[in-house]
Amino acid sequence: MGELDDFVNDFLIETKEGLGQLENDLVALEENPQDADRLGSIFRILHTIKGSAGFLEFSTLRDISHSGEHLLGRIRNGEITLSPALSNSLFRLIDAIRELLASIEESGAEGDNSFVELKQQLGAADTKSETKVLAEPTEEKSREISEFQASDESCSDDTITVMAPADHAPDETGEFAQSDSEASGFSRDDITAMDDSKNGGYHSVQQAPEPEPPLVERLTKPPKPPLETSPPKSDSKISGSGSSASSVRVEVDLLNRLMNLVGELVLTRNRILQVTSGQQDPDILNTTQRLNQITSELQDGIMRTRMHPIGGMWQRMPRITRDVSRQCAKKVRLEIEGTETELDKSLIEGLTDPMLHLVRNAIDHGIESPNSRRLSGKPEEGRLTLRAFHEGGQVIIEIDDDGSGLDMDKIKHRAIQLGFISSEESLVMSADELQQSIFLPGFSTADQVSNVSGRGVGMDVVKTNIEQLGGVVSLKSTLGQGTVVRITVPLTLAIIPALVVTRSGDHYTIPQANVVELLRPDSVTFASNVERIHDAFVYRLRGKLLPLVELGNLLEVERPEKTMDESGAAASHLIVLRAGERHFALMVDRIIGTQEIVVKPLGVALETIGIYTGSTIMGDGSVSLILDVLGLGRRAGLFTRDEQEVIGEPESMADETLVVVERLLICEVGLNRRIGISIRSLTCVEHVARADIEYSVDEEVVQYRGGIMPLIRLSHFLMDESETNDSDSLYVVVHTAGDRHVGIVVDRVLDITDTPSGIERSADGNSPITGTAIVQDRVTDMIDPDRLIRIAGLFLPTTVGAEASQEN
Amino acid sequence: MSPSENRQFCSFLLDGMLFGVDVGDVQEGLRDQRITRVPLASSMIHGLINLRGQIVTVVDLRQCLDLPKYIGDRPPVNIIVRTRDEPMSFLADEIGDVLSVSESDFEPAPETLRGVAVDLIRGTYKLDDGLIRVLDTQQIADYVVAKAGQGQT
Repeated sequence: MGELDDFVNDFLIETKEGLGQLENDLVALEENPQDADRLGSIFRILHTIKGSAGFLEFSTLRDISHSGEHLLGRIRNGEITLSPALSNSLFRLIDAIRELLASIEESGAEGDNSFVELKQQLGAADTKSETKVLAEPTEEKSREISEFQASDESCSDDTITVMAPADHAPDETGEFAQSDSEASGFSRDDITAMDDSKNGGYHSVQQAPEPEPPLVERLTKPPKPPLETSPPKSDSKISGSGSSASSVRVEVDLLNRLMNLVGELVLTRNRILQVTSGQQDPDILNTTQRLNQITSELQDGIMRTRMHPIGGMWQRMPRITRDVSRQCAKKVRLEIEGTETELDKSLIEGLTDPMLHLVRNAIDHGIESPNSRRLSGKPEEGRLTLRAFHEGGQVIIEIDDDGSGLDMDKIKHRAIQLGFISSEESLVMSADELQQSIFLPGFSTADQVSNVSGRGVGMDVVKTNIEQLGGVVSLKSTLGQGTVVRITVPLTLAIIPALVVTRSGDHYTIPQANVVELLRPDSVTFASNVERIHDAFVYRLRGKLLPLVELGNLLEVERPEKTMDESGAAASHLIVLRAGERHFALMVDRIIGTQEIVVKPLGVALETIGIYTGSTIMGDGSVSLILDVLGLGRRAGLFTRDEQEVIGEPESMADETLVVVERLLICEVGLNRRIGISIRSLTCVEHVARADIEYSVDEEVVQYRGGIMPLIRLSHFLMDESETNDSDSLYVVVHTAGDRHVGIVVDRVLDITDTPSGIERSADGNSPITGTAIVQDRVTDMIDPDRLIRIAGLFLPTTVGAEASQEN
Repeated sequence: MSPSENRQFCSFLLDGMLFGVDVGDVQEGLRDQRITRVPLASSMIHGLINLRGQIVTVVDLRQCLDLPKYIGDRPPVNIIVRTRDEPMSFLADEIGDVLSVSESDFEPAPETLRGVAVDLIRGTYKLDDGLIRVLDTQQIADYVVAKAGQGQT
């Protein structure tokens, strides 16, 4: 029994592999129906499945593969051509085989579905197209037939090949050694099955005598030619199975156990090295050194066993591309690059679903219908490229289509409609930021929910899945030219670089991917930069206020009454961490250093805590918890509060000269004068009608969000009185500090760009211009809004409270 | 002595009482393991140990059974047990012999038993010099996992 189970298991694994190949061959054959190699390959695989199924007494599987094989035989003979309906039936056959395999895997039996309908389809399609074929010139057909004769060894009448295994052997390559020997075992059934199909065929033969000659011809042809001509065909097959012969299937569990043992060996080696470090005996030293070396190599080798080429996962893509493009009535050519790129097995598993989704998305939403492609001057057939490569110790996967790209207006509209952003925000959002918003939950721009995608649960799931793998997904799209989705994942999840820290005597590790920078301020610097806001602390770093949390407090291993000031004076090791889009500073007792750690899963009882992603074993054999930075941030309440409130506290208005500028809003003021303002401190861009401008004392103000917003005419401060905007409304860039708004009047809003690197800083502290740079080939002055407000004399810090109470 | 009538239990002490788990569930007993505590985990989880490269969760059985905290000189013993999902370590004050008991000596847990113990104690077997309280390994594992989920704030 156990032996049979092994057979079944092997059969399942090999058949599944075969099906992948079969599927790809079929997709290719559909593209190019004259491809005799493909046809031969499909034929062989189906034949093998049939043979093994017969041997293992899976009769349904045997019968349906037989029907498929029979059909293919007729195609090969040129009796019929591969019509779309026919190839659909063949694809359905593959699905049916998969279904049967799944059932066998689960219950050991084939289940009740006998796929009568499918068998009929395979048979019916047969007769239908046969009559159609009649109309075709017979000459061409017979030429095809003679071509096919070469590889023809077991078509509609299996009896020939089955009874003549010598003829048949070179094609089988021993992939299923038993199938040959067992051939005679099922041949009798085959004959009956063949008889049935022959009868079915016979009716049509009566109407159409032409297809018959090839059969006769084949029966009467000498058996020699097939032997001579078939080797080139089987060559490719042999080389294919040759590579599989040099590899061995290993249970993942076993590999994991080996990994663990190697990890232990490494630790033992480390201890041996420690023990022998004081020894002088050259024998011992040599031996330990050798042990050291071998262990490292062993570790390396074991790690590599977990790496798989990505091509395996992509094997399914041609079929999916075909199916989806059919469903969407589109023409798509799939290109695959870098199939040999290796990455960790668990990563491949985790990436499969997101990849499938992205491919579906690209075809459904990205690539246009042949018609509209033609109208926009593109080839009717769309291109979808899957690309994988290694870069900087990471794996990059791109899904690149030449479709319509993302329509920014549509996305903007949709994002506003769904309430993700306000219409004000949409003005200051860069195209890039806007593009990333399609990763928000519930976002879908599909006008209609299609069968394939467009339920609005897509991209956010993709993003979450990839982030769970420690990866990043981004998107770049050009309207009318296409979209590239780029996934970056680490090579392996099993080993990651991590920062080791201590708190209250315990070691914790933090994935290096989340670490932005390390700070070691002395107690004076620390004290002067830490600020307390109620019960929360912030740390001032280069003009930015970072939420500051203390690891001991967060993990509740220290009494909560111990304040930041006390512990801060003693130890101030700070780590700036990135949790999603947010940054925060984490205080620990000591930062030990970076090391490569082997990630081990946590027990089920600990998964729910949500603050650890796993555990690892340190050099001394002790267990260390891996902190989940996102979880830490969440626990610290980082995501419950709006970032603006923390960063925009009045303190940030103090005399900071160096402002960390990230993205710039480019505006035009006066005649051809360009200025750039960091969008960090900006809330939105508003249109203000001139008529709405009121006056308070000698200031221009407007009513804004239920309060009074003073306006600053930028032109007044740039010694350039000429405002070129003479329309009825002004562009007002709203700057927010705390709960105060200030409107900066500009003539035109031009663009949002990245901050250029080469800014020439200006030394003049009395000008709002902090520097000058060349942005988009134009000289652009950088404006610091805080400084502008100070120079304009608007609500100096001392009067903030007074003014605020007056207003309300 | 037919095997169906005899059961073997790995015995251990908790707060002066003799407990046991099915000997088939027990992988090994270990003393002097370095235990890494897990902040914010439920009090039933004592920490993590490194069992030849595998990370094993250590369950504080005293906490599970609402017994007072252990204050002994000797470090507690990790009894590594197999559960459905993963091995776990049950922390006991002291490990004892494997005891062979007759099924006829089985008594179900008394109806007056209260609290969590009802689910965790399968019953008792009468011994010559006392009782052995038999714990259900899988029940304890499930209980710890369930409580860990609830304890989350």
